[in-house]
Amino acid sequence: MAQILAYDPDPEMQWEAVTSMGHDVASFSDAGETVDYAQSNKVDIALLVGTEGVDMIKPLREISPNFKVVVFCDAPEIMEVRRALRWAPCSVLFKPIVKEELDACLKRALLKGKSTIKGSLNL
Amino acid sequence: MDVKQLAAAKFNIQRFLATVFADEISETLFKAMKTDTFLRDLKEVSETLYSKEMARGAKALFDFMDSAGVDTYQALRFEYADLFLNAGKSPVLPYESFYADREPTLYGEPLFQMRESLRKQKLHKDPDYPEPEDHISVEFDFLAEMNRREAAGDLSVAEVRSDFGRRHMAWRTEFCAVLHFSDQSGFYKALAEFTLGYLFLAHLASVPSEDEFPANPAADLAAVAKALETLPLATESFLLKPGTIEPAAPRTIPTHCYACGALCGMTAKTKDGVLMSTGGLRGDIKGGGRLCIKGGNAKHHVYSAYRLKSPLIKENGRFRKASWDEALDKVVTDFKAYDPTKIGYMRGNDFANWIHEALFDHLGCPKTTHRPMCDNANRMSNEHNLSDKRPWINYQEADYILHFGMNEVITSYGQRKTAQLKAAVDRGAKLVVLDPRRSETASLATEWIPIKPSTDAAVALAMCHVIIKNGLYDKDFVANWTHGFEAFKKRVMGEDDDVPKTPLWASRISGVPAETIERIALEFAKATAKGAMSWTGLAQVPNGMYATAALQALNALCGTYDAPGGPSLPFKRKLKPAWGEGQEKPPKGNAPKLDKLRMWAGWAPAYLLDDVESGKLDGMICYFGDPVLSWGNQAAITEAIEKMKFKVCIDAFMCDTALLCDVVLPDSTWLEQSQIKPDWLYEAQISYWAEVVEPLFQTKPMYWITMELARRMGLEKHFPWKNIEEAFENQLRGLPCTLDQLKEQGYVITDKAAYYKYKEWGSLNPPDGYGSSGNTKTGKYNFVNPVAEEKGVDPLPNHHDGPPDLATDATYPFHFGNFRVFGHEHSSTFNDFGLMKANGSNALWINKMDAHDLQIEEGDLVRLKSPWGEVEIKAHPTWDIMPGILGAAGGFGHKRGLEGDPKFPQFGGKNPPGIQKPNITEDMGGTPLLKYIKTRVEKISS
Repeated sequence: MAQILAYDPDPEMQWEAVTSMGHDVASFSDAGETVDYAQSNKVDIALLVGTEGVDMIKPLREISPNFKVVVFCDAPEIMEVRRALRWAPCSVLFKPIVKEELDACLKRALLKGKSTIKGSLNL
Repeated sequence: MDVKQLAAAKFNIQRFLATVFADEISETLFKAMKTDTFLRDLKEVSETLYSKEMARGAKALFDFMDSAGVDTYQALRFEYADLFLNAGKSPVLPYESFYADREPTLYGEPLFQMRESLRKQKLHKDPDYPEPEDHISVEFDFLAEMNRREAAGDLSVAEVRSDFGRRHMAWRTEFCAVLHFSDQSGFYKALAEFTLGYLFLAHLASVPSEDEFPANPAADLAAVAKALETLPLATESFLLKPGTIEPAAPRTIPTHCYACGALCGMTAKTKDGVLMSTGGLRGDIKGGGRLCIKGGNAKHHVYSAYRLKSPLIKENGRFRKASWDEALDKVVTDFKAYDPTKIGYMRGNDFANWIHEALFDHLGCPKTTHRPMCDNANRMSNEHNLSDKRPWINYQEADYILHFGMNEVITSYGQRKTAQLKAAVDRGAKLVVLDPRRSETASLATEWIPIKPSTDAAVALAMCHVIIKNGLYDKDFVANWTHGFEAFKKRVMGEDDDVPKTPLWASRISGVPAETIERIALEFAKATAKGAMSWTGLAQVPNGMYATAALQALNALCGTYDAPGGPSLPFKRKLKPAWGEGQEKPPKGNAPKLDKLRMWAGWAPAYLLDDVESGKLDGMICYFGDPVLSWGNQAAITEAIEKMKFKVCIDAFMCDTALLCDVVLPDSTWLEQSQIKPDWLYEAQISYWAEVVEPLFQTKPMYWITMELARRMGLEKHFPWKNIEEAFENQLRGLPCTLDQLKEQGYVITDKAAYYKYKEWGSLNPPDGYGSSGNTKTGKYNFVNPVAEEKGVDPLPNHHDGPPDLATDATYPFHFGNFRVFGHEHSSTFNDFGLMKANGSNALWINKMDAHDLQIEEGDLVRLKSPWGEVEIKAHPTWDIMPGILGAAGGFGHKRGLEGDPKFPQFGGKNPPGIQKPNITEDMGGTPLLKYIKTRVEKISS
C-alpha cells in the first residue's frame, strides 16, 4: 500500500480507482494545499492531472529532488506531453484512470525505491 | 457499433501505424496518401471527428500531405534515416526498452515481455524484420493482429488485446512526444499528433461507457479507419509469423573484451539470445578474472540505442537508407574510379585484421592504424633497441616501480596487472610517478613528481648519470646483454657533446629538483626488484623517441629485463596464415608510404590535410575510428575529409568522421563477431572472442564486409573460406590448442611465465614461432639505436627542445595535454550509457594558483585558445596539475550519439586536442603532439 498524493484542479475528480487498489490517497484540487501537504507528510508518489499538474512537479521536486510523480492528461496535447517529460515523471497516462494501467505503473515506479526516478527527456 | 466493427476499425489504424513506423514510407504508400480520394477523406475526418485530439492529428497529416511537393518523398527518406537509423542528431528510439527507464539501452525487460506475449498467441517476429520485438511497429502489428482476429470472430483475444494495449500504451505516448520534438520534416510531427490522437481515442474506447463523455469514441475510430481504407496496407500481419519460438537456453560464454587494447578475459551471460551481463574470466592471463567498468558495461555498448542499423548513402548532403547490395556496389564502383594508391585505408582496431588488411594491401591502398597516432615515438626506440613496444613490469615481485608519462591504473592494459600494481603498493613497494598531472596512478603512488612535458629524457638521462657515476649499474648485464654502452656513457657524461647530463642540468630543463633526481636514481639502482616504464606521455610530445630510450636505458643499466619485478620480455605465439592448403593469399600491391618521418615512413594521420592537398590522397575507407576527433587539428582533419572525393566509413556508430562520408556501412560490435588472437602478459596464451550474440539490425562483421567487397572486385578466390571458423582452423595449425578448446575455455595458455628467458633464448628476441612487436638486431639491448644509425639519425638519447613555435610564450603561456579516463576508450565508448553516466563530460584541469590569477572558479566556462583554434569548456581548478599546465580527458566532443542528442543535455564534452597545430607530429614516428599544445585560457562566464 502506498501513500499517494493526488492533485486534479477539477474538484469533481474522484479517486476511487486508486483507493480501491488499496492505496491511501490524499486528494486536492488546490495547488497550494497540495504542496503544503507534501511538505509535511510522507508521500510515496504523486498523481498529477493536466497542465496544472505538470506545473506542480517543480515545487514537489524542491521538497525532494526524487519526488515520484505520474502525470495524467485528460485532453492530451503533444506539447504538454513534451513538457511533462522534461520533469522525469514515472509515466504520462490518460484520464479516465484505468486501474490495471495505473497499477502496473505504480508497481514499477515504487519497486525501484524512493531515491530512483526515471530519466528526463529535454523535449 | 459492435465489437467486431470496432476491432476492424482499430485494425486498420494500427496496421497503418505499424506500416509507417516499420521502415521508410514506401513510394506506393506515399503516392496513395497524395491521392485526391485519401486527402478528401482525411480532410473530412479532421473536420467531423468529435475527438479534438484525433482531429488535430488527422488535420496535421492532411496539411502535410496536401502540401507535399515533388521532392517530399525523397526528403522523407532522409528524415527517416535521421530519426530511425541514427543518422540524425535526435533519433526517436522507437523501442519500449528505451522508454522503460528513458535510458538509451535497448533489449531490456520489455523485449522479453513482448516475446512472451507473442508466444502466448503462438506468434513470433518475422526473423527477416531486423528490429527487436519491442519496436513500436511490432507492437502495433501485434495489436492489429489481435484486432484482426477479434474482427474475424475470435472474441477470446479481446482481453489479450485490451490488456496489452493498456500495459504498453504509456511509452507510445512518450514516443509521440519524442517524434514530435525530433522531426524536422513535418511529416513525422503530423504522425506523432495522429498517433497520440489515436492512442487517446483508443483509451477512451476502452474504458466503461459511463465514463465516456459526451461522445462515442468508437464512432470516431470507425471514421478514421474508413479514411485509411484506400491506402495499400497489408491485410495480414506483416511483421509477425505464426508459430511459437521457445526461448533460447541461457548461456555462459567464455570470450574476451575488446573495449580497449587490454583484451581481458570475459564471461558473457545470455538469456534467450540476449546479452544480460559480462564479468571476468577466471584464469585468463590479462584480466585474471577481473573486468573493468568498460568491459562490465559492454551490454550498453552492444545495445546502445545509437547503433547504426543499415547501410547509408549520402545524397544532397543527407543520408538515406540503402541495401547492402546497393551500398557495397557503390563503394566498389566509386573505388574503381580512382587510383587505389591514393585511397587510404584506415583501421582503428585490429579485430580480424588479417582479412581486411589482406584486401587493402593487395589493392595497394596506403594503410594507417591506431599506432602512428598513439605511441609510435615510443616504438621507434623500444622496437629497435629492445624487442617490444611495451615490456610490462612484473609488479608481483617489484619493490621499486618507476613510471614516466603513463597512468597505469587507468590505461590499464589488463586488470590482472593493475591489481598486481595496487597489491605491490599495498605491500610496501615504492611507486614513483613522474607526470605533469597527479593522475590516478600518481595518486596511488608513494611519490608523485611533477615534470614539465617533453623533458622526461633529461630526467632519465640524469638518473643514468647518477647510476653510472656511482658505478651502480649491473656490469654483468651491461657487458653481456647490451650494445653501445661506452657511447651511451660518453653521451651521459657529456664526453661527446660537452653537456654532462647531471641532475642539475636536468632540473633546469624539467622543473624536477636535482636532489630528487639524484635520490630516485640511487633508490632505483639500489632496489632489488625494479622496473621503469613509460607510455604515451613520452610519445605525444616532441622528444618522444629519445625520452623513451633514456627511460629504457635505466632498465638496461640495471639489468631488470625478465628479472623479478622488472619488465618482462614478450613472447606471443605466432598464428599461422588463415590461408590453408590450396588457398592463395592475395599478393601485396604497391602501397605508397605517404609520409616520411626521420625514423618511420607510412601514413601519419596528423598530416591528412597536407596529404590530401598535395594530391597523395583522393579518398579514404575508414574502419572503426574517428579521425575527426583523434587525428590532430579538428578543423584541418575535417577540411581534409571534406576535400576527399571518395570517403567510406565502416563503424558501429555515427562518429564524426562517418558524418563526412558518402557511404556508411554498419559494423557489428565486437560481441557480435569472433576472432582468435595470441596474447601475452608474463605467460603466453591464445585468446578467443566468441560471437556472443547475433549481429543486431542489419549490421555485418568486418570479415563479411571484406569478403563481399572482394567478391565484387573479382577477388573471391583469395577469400575462399566457407565461414570464419575455417580460417581460424588454418590459423591454429601446429599450435598447442584447438578451436574447440578455445571455444570451451575462452583461452589456452601456451607458455608459462619465466624469469630470464633471454638466457635460454640466447637473445632478447623471442625464438622462432613466437612474436613480439619489435626486434633488436644485436639480440641485446641497444643503447645505440641501430636503425637510427642506418637512417643517419642521432642514435643516442638526448634532451631536445620542441619546435620553437610550439613553445609557450607570453601570449600562450600554458601547455595543454589530453589524458584518458578509466570510463572511456579514446573516442569509441561515448554511446555506452553505462559509461556516460559515470563519465558524461570533460572539464579543463588548471592549477589552482593559475586559476586564481585568472579569476577562474570551478565550473566557470572558459575559452581554451591556441594559435590554431579554440574551444569552450568548463574549468576544473585543482592542485593535481602543475602550474603552467592544462589538461582534459580526450575522446569527447561527438556530434551524434549521447553527446549530440539534445534530449540528454547532461551529456557532452569538448575536444581540446583538436586545437593543436595542423600538419605536425613529433619528427621520428609521426605521433601527434596531443600533450604539447600551447594555449591560453580566458574566462567567459561563471
